[in-house]
Amino acid sequence: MFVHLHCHSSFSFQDGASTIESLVAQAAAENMPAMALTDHNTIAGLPEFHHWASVYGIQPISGAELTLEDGTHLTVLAETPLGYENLCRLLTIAHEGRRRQPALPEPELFRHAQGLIVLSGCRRGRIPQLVLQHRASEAKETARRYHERFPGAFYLELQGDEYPRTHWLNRQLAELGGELGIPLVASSNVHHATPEQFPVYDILSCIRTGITIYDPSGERPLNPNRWLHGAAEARRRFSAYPQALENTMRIAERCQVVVRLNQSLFPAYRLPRGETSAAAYLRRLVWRGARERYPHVDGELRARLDHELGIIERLGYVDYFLVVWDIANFARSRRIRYAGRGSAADSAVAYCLHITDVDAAGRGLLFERFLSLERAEKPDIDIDFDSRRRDEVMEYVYRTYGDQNVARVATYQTFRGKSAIRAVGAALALPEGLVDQLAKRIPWGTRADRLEEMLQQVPELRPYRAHQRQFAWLWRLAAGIAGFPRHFGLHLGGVVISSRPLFAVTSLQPSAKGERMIPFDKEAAEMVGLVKLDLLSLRTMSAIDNAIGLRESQKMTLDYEAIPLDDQATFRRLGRGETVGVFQLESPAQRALQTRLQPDRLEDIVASVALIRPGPIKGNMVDPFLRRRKGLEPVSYLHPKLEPILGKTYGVVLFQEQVIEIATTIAKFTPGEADQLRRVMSHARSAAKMERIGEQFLAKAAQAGVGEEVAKTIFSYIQGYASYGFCEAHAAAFATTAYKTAYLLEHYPVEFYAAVLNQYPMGYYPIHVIVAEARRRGISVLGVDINASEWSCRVTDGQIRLGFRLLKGSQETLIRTLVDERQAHGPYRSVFDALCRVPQLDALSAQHLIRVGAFDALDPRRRHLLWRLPEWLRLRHARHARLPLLPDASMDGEGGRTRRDGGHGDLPFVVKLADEYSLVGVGLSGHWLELYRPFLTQNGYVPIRNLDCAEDGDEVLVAGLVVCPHRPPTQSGRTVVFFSLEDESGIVDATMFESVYRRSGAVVFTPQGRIVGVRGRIQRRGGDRPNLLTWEVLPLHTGL
Amino acid sequence: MTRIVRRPIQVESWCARMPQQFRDQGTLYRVADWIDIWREMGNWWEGEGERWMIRVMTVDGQIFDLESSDGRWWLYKVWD
Repeated sequence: MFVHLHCHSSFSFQDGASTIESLVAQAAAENMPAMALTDHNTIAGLPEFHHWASVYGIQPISGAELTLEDGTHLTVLAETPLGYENLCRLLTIAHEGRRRQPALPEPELFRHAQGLIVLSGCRRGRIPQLVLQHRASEAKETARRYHERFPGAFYLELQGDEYPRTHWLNRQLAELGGELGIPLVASSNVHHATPEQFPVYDILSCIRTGITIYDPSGERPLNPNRWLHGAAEARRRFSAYPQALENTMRIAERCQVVVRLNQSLFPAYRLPRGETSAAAYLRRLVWRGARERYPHVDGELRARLDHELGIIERLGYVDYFLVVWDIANFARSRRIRYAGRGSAADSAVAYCLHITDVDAAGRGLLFERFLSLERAEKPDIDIDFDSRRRDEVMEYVYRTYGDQNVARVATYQTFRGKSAIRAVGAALALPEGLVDQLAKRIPWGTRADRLEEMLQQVPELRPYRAHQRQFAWLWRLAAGIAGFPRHFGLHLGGVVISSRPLFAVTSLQPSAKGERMIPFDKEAAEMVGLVKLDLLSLRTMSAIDNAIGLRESQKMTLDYEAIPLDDQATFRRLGRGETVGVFQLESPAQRALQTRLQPDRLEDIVASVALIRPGPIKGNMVDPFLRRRKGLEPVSYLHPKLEPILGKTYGVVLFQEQVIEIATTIAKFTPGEADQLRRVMSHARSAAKMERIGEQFLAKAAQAGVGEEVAKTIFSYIQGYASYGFCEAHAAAFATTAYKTAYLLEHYPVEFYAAVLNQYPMGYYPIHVIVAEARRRGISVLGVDINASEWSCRVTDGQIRLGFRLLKGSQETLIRTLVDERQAHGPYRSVFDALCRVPQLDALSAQHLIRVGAFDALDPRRRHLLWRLPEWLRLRHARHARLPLLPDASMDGEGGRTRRDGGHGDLPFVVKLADEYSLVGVGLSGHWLELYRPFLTQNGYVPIRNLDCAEDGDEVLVAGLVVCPHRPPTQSGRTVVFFSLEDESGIVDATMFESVYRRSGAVVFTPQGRIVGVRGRIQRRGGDRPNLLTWEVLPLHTGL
Repeated sequence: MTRIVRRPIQVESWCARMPQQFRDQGTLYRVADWIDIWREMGNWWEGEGERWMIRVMTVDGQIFDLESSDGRWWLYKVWD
């Protein structure tokens, strides 16, 4: 028998060509009793490894291949739980201060040696290296030292990879072992599950080292022998060393399963003095919160809270709720804006604890969607904080729960379509331009294993079909690395708090920001018993706060908490689809929905948030909902018991909570069973599974006295719901924020648009659309000005003054210095004056300021200023160095315009626009379409503003900038393209069906299609706002 | 110093599937020792498969790398 003790998975980051599951499956297929996972300097894959090992019935051995400070490798296995702790410590030390290039000091290895089994490593191990370099005595000394430091736990690793000098190396190692009494162990240094995966392994090596397949390199694998072979192949490779084979089994027998899945590592909440019971304390907080939230706590509410608290206590999540309450309470006490969301908003307890703002009891939301006894899953509470202040909350968590016990959660950037094309294309040495263009045209989010299919389906990829043969390996290899982790990243808001010091549970490593993170992503963290809290930063929260601040800066007030939830002016604005900038409601699909829905209450917004999702659109739920909401179709219920459940959505199954309630009411499912049903229906596509659930539903419904036909029809409703349901609590949490931002947009548009610009990038649209919307509402948006702008956009006299922050590449410290100097010593008089007074103002920043017109008020001749800039910079340098000056060198710079500029006046309009769009993202001197207008007018194109007066069905010809083209999923599976078109007069949403898209529309997804003409027909679909049904997309040939 | 030559040779006698003597451009070489043997993958993207490489020392003390794939043999490298 033989066991692989040295295996790399895709978690070795471009040095492993197989997923963990495929490695374990291959080991099981080869009847291996055990296998070890030894990824490079990480245990990131261990939770998943243990999961698959239990599925396939294999003993998992935990380990890692460590890199020592001298660059040599060492295979380390955890024999005991203490060994695992030591392995975690070693990895933490190796990563400390060495992000991306971990290296372990050898003394640390010896200091934390207990419970570890060490193998001398691959060819890059220190001992093999010394042997290969014919430094026999040093090799012997090193082997002796390790033998002493790891008594009975150090092995010389023989490799059966059939590389040059492998046979000789193995003979030398065997002799060394014999001489020192060190046992041998056989290994195949596995990097892929099967030999056929060799090209993937080779291409990953090329990607890792930045070379092409035509470049010879010692980093590339030489042959396909590093696969997960069986015992027979091992016997062939190591026929001369039977003891080395036997030792693989002995080591496997020694190694314990050291990673425990599904344990609970959440800490106990530290109770205030005098409190003895966490459960009693939580109850007290909840009742106190209930009295704050409700004017009267009635019996029904009391029963609900008791029910929820009972489940929380029985599942052992009292401490979890107390910790989350503590964090939310900290934010409240510091006036940090936040909102809990997700299924946690189904909890009345969470509402009373001020974790969420959704009245779960009042809305009749189902707590079991969040937590249930049968499911007994870990709760998942997400809280959005003001993005500018989220770090304060994080600091509080570290401070309160201990530096040793808190860490951030990792996330892995994986190979997807675009990244795989770029990486594999470069490694295959395909022409750079071709690869770049191809990657740009691949639809966003395309999986790397669906690229070939895309080539046939997507019209804008048509030109590349001619390269099909050239791309054969590209598709194949991209598919081979699909979903493989590329590198670690920091999860946006995930944080774990552990009862045990984290170094005993996992390794830790620094993120790019310097925060300590575990190497596990959310799922892996949960597998090992760590509970993740999502403390997210939401720019919308910051925008709200900023809008309030801007209001206050004008000595006016804005009480966000007191915003009435029934403001009809706000609903009318929503009904007109004028919602650019509004949280969750600004996409073209949402705007189109609002014009048809004509919302007049918050419930409409809750439904809207849930309706514009892939599921309801694919499930054709939108139209029936709208017809019933508007009274165009009668609302009927198949069974009287459905009325209280579906009443608020006019008989349409829209929310996940409704499915659970239907199952509990009609078929008497327990809440946990019903949620299980909801989950299966949401995720499973298997007809057999669906049929089994259907049978269960019908049987239980029959027992509950519901007629078979009615039960069947009800089941067909919830079956149709499969995959598209949305959590009502989540929708309600979002809807409140959405409505309130719409209120700000209606009543405080200047402050709101300025705040949105200050949080950019946020939301759906680019800056030029936000500015266009503001201008459309009659708000002046003034450009960046050296003497008027500040870092952020601000509001003065009802106008928005753009801030320097929007300027590409601008540095906050430099701008702060510039503004401070201006405030201290008065306005700048010229470019040269600014250069002299702010020595940190470098050439590039000055150039950018000139290009966007920041000096226009002092001298509008941008070309002239750019021409003189190098001279002024030299002059500044000379002044600083006290060098003699030419008599008139600074004259023009000091404000005079007497110096000849050699004919360099202002820049042409087109260049100004190009500069402004590329540096600020919006035209400040004008709009791109102004350049085309004479041609457009001559050729029958009308300004977009004119479409407001066009009749339904009118044929029109318009042109504009293409904004946010996208292809959401549709019910029919056919492609429908949505985009907006913006010209100097306004913006219109457009729809393009598949035939047009295939014939002429694909250009909108290409760089050539940024400005196009569109021939189409006006549609209003029940609302006031015109929509353009595209017939033809026309490239603009104007000779510009 | 080494020279890559990669020219076909005829292997004329064998021992345990290893060449014992081979002829290169009319000259017969007798193998005194096999120094090393390893496997290399060819240009997989061009459909090439694996090949065996064998480093041999001839009775007159010369060292050669021989290459074998698809039943054919080449003198791949000469060690001067």
